[in-house]
Amino acid sequence: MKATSFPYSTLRGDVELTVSDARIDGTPLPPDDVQANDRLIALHGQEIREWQRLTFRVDVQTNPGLLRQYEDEHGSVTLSVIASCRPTNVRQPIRLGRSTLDPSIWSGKAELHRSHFRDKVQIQAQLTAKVGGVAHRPVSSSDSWTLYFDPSESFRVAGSLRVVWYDFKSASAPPIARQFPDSAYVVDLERSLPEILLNKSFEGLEPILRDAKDRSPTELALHDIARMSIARSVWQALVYDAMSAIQMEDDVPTWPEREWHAEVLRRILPEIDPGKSETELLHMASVDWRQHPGSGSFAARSEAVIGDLIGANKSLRKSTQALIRRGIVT
Amino acid sequence: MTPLKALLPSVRSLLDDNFRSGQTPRLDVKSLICDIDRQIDIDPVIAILDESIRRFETSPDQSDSWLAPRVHAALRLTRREAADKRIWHFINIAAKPDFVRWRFGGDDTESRVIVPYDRFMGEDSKNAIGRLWWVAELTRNGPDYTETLSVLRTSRFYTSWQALDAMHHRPAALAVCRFDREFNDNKGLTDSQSQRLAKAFNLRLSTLCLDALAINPVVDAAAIDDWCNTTVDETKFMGDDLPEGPDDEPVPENSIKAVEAVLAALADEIDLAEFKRAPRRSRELQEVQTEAPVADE
Repeated sequence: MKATSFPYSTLRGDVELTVSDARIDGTPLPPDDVQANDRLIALHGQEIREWQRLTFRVDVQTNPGLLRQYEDEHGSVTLSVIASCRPTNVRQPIRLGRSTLDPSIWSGKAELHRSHFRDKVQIQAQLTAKVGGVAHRPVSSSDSWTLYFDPSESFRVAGSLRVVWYDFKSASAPPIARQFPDSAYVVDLERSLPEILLNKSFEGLEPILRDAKDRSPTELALHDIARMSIARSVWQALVYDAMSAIQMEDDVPTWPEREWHAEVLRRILPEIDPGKSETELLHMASVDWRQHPGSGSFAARSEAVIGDLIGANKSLRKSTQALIRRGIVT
Repeated sequence: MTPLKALLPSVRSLLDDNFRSGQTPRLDVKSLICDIDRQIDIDPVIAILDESIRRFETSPDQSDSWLAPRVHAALRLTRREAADKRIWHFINIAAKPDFVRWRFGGDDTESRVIVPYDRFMGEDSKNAIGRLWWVAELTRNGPDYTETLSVLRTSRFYTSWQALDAMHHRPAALAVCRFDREFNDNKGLTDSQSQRLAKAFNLRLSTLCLDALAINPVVDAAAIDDWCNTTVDETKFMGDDLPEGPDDEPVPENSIKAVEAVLAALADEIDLAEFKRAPRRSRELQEVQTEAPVADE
């Protein structure tokens, strides 16, 4: 409710939603899987692989004084807490009880069945009241908690891109690697979060790319250039895929649904044309930059932005300076 | 038994004009197929799809309302399973591409029509077989598919309503089906009326909390589990009698009526009965926009 103005009187003050004591099939989640500061819970990768039921405690609290004042004016408020999952089209209510001792607090237990959810679930609390004679009007809402039932589609949650070594000629390699057995690397965009696949059977690649302390300046330069070249082309693939995922709703472009797509675009687009608003950037990305001549302008600028982003220029400068100092490059 | 599998999205690069038009009837996609967690037999749903081609041979666009409840009852999935888009890629592309071409290939027998990509790989409201399953799931009332049958007599639900978050609220989805059917003295909404009402309803929900208005019962996980693990006899679904869905609690009648009342009031407010064709967007929602919240930059 913080960023929205409603055409009627709303409740001032924050609504705090807290999720705690999360358990899968009765077993408490490891503390690292609950990140209260970021309001997220990671449920994938649990030791109990075939778990069925997630239970947790939910508490909602708002400012007692402001609530009392609002209820004196508009009558009693009602709390709705909803678990929403877009991939499964589920919108599940979570019923909480209001404290009789402190009416600004609601508490209760929630139970979510894994068979109803996929990817991520968002939990949000909303207070409603009868305002101006109209019932069930939202008057305040909390920030959302996010529960990741499956590996996250967000770089923000998962950290950096995962890098995996495969023998691209082996039957156990992913299909994209098998299709290009002589490539040094490919980027797999079919997973929930992209992965860089490096080719074990590409002679000399492992020694060049692995981290080592005692490299000669020439080896170090080769190491850095190889890493940067991979990073650059992977980022280009990410940007290309993310651009294609921009959606149109009633002819208005909207951020892609997958989180990493949106994260990539939010990082790159403002650098392509600084000073433009989000709406303008999205419009350009969905129309102007997709067709000639805008596409050429976009390709040239995104290439430069990516170079800066991955530190390619800094790395190349460092390598060449080291080679010059040693007289290898004159 | 033909087991359900997942087909990786990179199959898209293989969906050329020849495949989508049927000149290349099948693709070799073995290297892009993966197993899924549970063994699910798709023979029953294949039999249902074949029967629909026989029944509605020359009028494929009339087949949706007969098919949707039967596809849902023959392909017993949890929502978690159905949300894996790769299974719909498998069914549309590897298992039944002939159905997709029949349903969306047009009636031009002289030249082959190239079916759009999204009928093979599109969203829940687009891909040919997944959209039938999802509409049935969203509009069934416990085991009863009556509203699914009724709402799919036209394509309005797909085009106007299915993409709205409000349709995840079961009483709202059922209320929309009923309202759609009963409006205009039971003649039903027209396409443009449906489109207009859906937009107005979506906008109204920014100042009206559906979950406070009408109780949305929690789906019964045990009932779904039982249903998914029961052997399907698709021969019972081949006639005109509707199949039965999962035996979970129906939505309370007063919840459906509460949303219907909102739709009726909104229809009056925007003078829907008099609305004949889609006017410019700015004029279209003028009335309800006065009540919309404004994002603070």
